[in-house]
Amino acid sequence: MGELMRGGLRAATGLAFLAALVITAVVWVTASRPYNPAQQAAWVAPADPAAALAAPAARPFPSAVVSITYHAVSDTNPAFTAVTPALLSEHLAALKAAGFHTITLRDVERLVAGQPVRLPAKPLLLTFDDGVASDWTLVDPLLKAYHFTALAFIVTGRVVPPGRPSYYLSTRQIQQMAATGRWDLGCHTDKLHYYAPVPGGTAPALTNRIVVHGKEETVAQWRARVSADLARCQAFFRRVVGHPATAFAYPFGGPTSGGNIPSVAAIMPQLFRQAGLDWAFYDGGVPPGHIDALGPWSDRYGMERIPTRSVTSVAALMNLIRRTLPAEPAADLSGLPWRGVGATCATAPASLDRSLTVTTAAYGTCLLGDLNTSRWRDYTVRTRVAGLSQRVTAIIGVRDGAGTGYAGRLEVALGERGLIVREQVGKRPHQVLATAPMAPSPVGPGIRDVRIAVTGDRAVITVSGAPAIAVTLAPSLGAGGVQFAVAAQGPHAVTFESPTMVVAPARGTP
Amino acid sequence: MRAADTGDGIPPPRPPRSPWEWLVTVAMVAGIAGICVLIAWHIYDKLSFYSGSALTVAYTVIVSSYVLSRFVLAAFYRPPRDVGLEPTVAIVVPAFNEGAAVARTIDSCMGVDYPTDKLELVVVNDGSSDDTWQQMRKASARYAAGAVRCLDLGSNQGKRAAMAAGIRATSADILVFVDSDSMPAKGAIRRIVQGFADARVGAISGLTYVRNVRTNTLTRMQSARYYVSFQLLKSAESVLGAVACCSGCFSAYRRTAIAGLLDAWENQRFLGVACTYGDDRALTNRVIKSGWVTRYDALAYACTDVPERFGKFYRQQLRWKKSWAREGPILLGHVWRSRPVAFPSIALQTVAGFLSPVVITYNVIRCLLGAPLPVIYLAGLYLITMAYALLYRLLRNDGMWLYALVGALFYITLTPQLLWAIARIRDGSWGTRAPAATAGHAGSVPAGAVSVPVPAMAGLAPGGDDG
Repeated sequence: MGELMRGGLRAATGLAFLAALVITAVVWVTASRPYNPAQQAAWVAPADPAAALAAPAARPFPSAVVSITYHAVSDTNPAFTAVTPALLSEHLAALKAAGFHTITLRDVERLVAGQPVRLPAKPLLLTFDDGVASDWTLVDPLLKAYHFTALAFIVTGRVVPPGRPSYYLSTRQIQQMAATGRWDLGCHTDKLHYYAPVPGGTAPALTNRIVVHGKEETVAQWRARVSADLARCQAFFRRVVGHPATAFAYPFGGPTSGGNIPSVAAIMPQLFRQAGLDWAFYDGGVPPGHIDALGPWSDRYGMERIPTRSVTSVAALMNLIRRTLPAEPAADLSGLPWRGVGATCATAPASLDRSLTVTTAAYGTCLLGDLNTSRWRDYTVRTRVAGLSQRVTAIIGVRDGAGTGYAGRLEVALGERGLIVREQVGKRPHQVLATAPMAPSPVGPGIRDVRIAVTGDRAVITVSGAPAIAVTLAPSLGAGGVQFAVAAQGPHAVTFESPTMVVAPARGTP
Repeated sequence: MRAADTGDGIPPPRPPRSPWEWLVTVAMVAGIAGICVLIAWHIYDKLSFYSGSALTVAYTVIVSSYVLSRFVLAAFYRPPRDVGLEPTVAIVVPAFNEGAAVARTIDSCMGVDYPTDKLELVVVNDGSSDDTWQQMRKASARYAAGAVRCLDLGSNQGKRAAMAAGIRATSADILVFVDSDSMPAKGAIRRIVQGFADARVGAISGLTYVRNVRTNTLTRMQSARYYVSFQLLKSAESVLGAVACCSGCFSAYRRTAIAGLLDAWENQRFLGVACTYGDDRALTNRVIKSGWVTRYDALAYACTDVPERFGKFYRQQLRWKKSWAREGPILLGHVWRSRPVAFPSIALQTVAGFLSPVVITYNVIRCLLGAPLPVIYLAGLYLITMAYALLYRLLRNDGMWLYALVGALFYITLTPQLLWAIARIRDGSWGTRAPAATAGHAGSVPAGAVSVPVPAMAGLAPGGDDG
């Protein structure tokens, strides 16, 4: 009996230890399993024919690279920069359908540096800022599905060791990203992606002298702080992927956004060079209002990108892209998409005499606002203006910043008897550069042939019946399109006949 | 169900497996394999995620790899084949103050199954102060003249001197060392010489069971520990041909392998003092260094007595740890050229062995200061010690498999003792009041029987003596 009980007790003890073994194994596996979120299956958005149609059909400027910035990708993140995976997928599907092909950072570098590089017809650079874990879990599968590549700008100080739960990427995920061959990596500061206290408020820590221990930094201290941060960023990339980064992205805009270091825009490139960073991208959306696609014209320390928001629809994205692509100067100005402000802009069909008729009740302008004219630099505009009278003045603007990202232009105002050449820079009032009386028109009453040639900061205005006028433009009027305006007493129409543009230094006379 | 106790701790031959036993066998194999897979997964995770401090990662990977490699290597272990070898054998028994016990040892040695014309027993009295010499003479008189040779050193010169004198007194090809409190089983001598059929083999360790296993919990734990240490750790080492310690309880050496080493071994000094402990490990070490292979024969049994009181057990463990701390690095220093195939294994063992007490002490202090319990560490510990217990149950059905678990955990608590052992490594005394010069050899202490502690691997691991 006792033997039996002892046997039973022993069996029970053994079973208890075996049960403990199973429990321990489960605990061990659960507790020691590292955080390793799986990549999500990519939802490929159906190709939307409308999106393809909405795509910029216009001839893009040769070798202009469209670059787009995304941040976190999430279904739940309320940040205004976070897009949902579905929206991102729709964006990528539309880009694919529109014929865009992604290119690598190296290709962009070659292009901007003016080195020979073979590019697809519609080159695209996708960038993802901040180094959020969704780069790996959500974005990478989408890139794979669409055969795209991307550039991730990583805040290296926020990267966690492998296996630790985090909103940001882990070093292991970054290595995995690098190993896919789909990702280039860039620096988004090591630990300076934040707003720091400055006298009177807060400002981006990277580009401002901040308050440290109650004292405002000197410029030397600021330089030392930024240099050290960039060096840490580079050390991170050397350690994790074996080589330093070449590209940097500013957090919160660029170096010009209202900082307390006047020469910050000049100093930052020195600090970049010191750290071995050859390229710096502005945060998407800076300068506001106008973004140029990347090309040989780009500033290597001020590369611009299209920003996206959680509300950026496919159509809005396509619109942004269209405005980003520099348009080629058009020979026939009457064929452009004129937009009237206080005026109706009527263009005659090409089969007839090409012309643009501006009709207004008092003052109206025909603009090229949707056209990116940032590549329109040196050109000659010719047209015959018909409909001038004592009550009607025609105004031709050149180097108009509406499609280039600044306010201002050079204007030639033609009355019946005289002309005024004036410029507007920014929001300052017009400044008259020259005036001249005009003899009666040799062509006919109310009709003048006009030729305006801009080359560098020089403009030569030649109007029939008036002497040629040469003026010097303000340096900020460096590039821009054309506009036609009418000022009249009462409803009137002015026709600009055969408006043409020749891209070349002007010579000869009309 | 279980086999009757034979009184010497050596289990009787295992009966054919019943269906139930087959089921148990399959379950145990599956359990051990499962734990091994978990350990391998853990190593992979640590390496691919590299989470935690460098020390933690290195420690976990080293210790887990060591434990895993023991099971994997041991799975490939096969005892040497019986090829009917019958070389001349001399059993050398050093004795110091054994009293009547020496007669028992002489009787058991003479009782083995081996041709009498090829077997010789050399009993060396190391200047005992009691009647050991008389007892030896009396016992030897019962056997044919010349079968038992009794040597008297005249004064106490230490165990190594006694063993060296015994070796020099005989010309047998194979020398079998048996501690004065150990007894070889009947077929043990015939069995242990078989491995020497391989001309590269210089030394072979037998398997030692614990005779006084039933005395108390301490002896049960030691018994289970001995068994797992031999069957797992020595088996693994044998596969690589470098059993680091052919234990003094019961081992055989080839004369040609040790003849040239005797003087250096007998007079070994470490940090300026004569070495009085770890004689077996030191000798095996030198045999390996000379380029010989050392093996383990799981079918050659002996039995021995283990300490029954904690104080004595503690001092024995301290001696073993001292000899491990001394001989481990020495072995590592030459094994990369004397036995390159065993180098990774021995390197893992040595590094893990030295790290373990540090990590365990560190963790204990952290917990005392209020840090949360290291759950992963403790769970890993349990898994590994459980793997030992399952192995024990797989190989033996004597109802004591849980002692392998409890014993392993108990040994792990002694791991920090290594730090003390290192601090006292120049102290040659045996932890008794006897002065170093008169340090004993056996006296119920299985001197260097199973030496060394490879302490808790991974904290995890077995404390095992790797023996």
